[in-house]
Amino acid sequence: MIDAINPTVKTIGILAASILLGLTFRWEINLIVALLCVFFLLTSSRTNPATLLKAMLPIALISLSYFFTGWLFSSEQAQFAASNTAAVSGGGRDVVNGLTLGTRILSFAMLGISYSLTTDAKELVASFIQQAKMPMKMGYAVLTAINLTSLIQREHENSKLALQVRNIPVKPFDTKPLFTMLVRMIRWSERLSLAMESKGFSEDRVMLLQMTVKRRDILFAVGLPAMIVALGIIFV
Amino acid sequence: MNKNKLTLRDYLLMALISVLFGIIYLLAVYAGTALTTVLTPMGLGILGYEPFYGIWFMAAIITTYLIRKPVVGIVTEVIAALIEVLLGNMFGVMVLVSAFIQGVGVELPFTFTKYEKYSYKMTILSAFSATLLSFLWTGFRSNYLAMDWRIVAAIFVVRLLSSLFFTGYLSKLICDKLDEAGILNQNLDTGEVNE
Repeated sequence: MIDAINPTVKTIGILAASILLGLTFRWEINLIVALLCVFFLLTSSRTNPATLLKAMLPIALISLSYFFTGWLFSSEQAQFAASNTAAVSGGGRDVVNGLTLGTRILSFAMLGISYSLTTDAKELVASFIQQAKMPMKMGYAVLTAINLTSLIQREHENSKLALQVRNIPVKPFDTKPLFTMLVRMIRWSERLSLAMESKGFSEDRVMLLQMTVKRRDILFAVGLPAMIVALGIIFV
Repeated sequence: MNKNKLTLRDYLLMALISVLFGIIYLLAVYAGTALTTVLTPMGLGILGYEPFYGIWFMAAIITTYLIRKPVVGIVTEVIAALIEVLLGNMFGVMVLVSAFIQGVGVELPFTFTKYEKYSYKMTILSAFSATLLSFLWTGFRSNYLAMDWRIVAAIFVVRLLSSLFFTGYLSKLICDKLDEAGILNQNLDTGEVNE
């Protein structure tokens, strides 16, 4: 369902929804939004269970860490707000505060993975170029970098290996291989741009992949934020 | 100030450096996750990623130093975020907003000197403004008002220290070494195709 939404419109819809969600402070709303995102992900043909599980583990950990922070280190203002909105007292107010913070991060992250795991890279860049007027050069630079990701990773490993064979130790955040790689990236950008321009690359390039905005896209971009506003009114 | 338009080579350099730093970011994410796991039972898990926060500003400051044109820092952060999103970042579209704000933060001090000064003073100011703007944004996103002020203060101080080291000091050191190696401006200025 969410796969078919135009990527630019999906960006606007989810961005607006995220900002509106940031203005609400109720765990019930956060939980409803998170569950809606689970529905989006389960109905998407682009999400496989293994990837979803891998993405969910750090989300669960971060949500849990926010829950503990909200619970053990809540502000007086938050306790006052919790006592106004829930029939809780004493330590229960802290738990509600923790729950609100934990589910807040959970719902942001669920909206985030509903976007990133259901959006195709080529479609997103094509849509940004056609609907959001992103410069063609920027779009193709992003695609080039994505396609070269594994090569850059391999080159980074080679740079570390080159130092190790000279008996120079390499620590996890060492700048020596980073320096070598930065020199390489400067050279690559020069050669790649020459190669692309020699093949006639310009802003006038015609794209085979044509992205369009349909009525259902608008419905999604308006409907999702509207639903959060409605939930905000219901749970006041 | 260099008012030439960004060229294809500039965009490619920004994108390639973003991917390169993506590898470093991944290491920082692993380290941050491990630290978060250790600190969570004490309620301090929120501080887990803070010691590595300055690493997220490095790509923007390095490309600003290398290319020396307006909006390079912002565009680099946005490209880096776009690549992160397309590779499955869990905060999705919110990363684009964070990236834009961080890019503005990194670039702000350079606008006052018309992109002509690249001293330690400038990179340290850049680290400070990036920390401040990113702190305001994450404050809204994570609702810092609901937390004890001492935790919020700790977040700011740890992030600032990280930023001063990685963005203010280390990035400048790397760029100076690139300059000494003789591969900077003369290389980037030759053969530009301006449309």
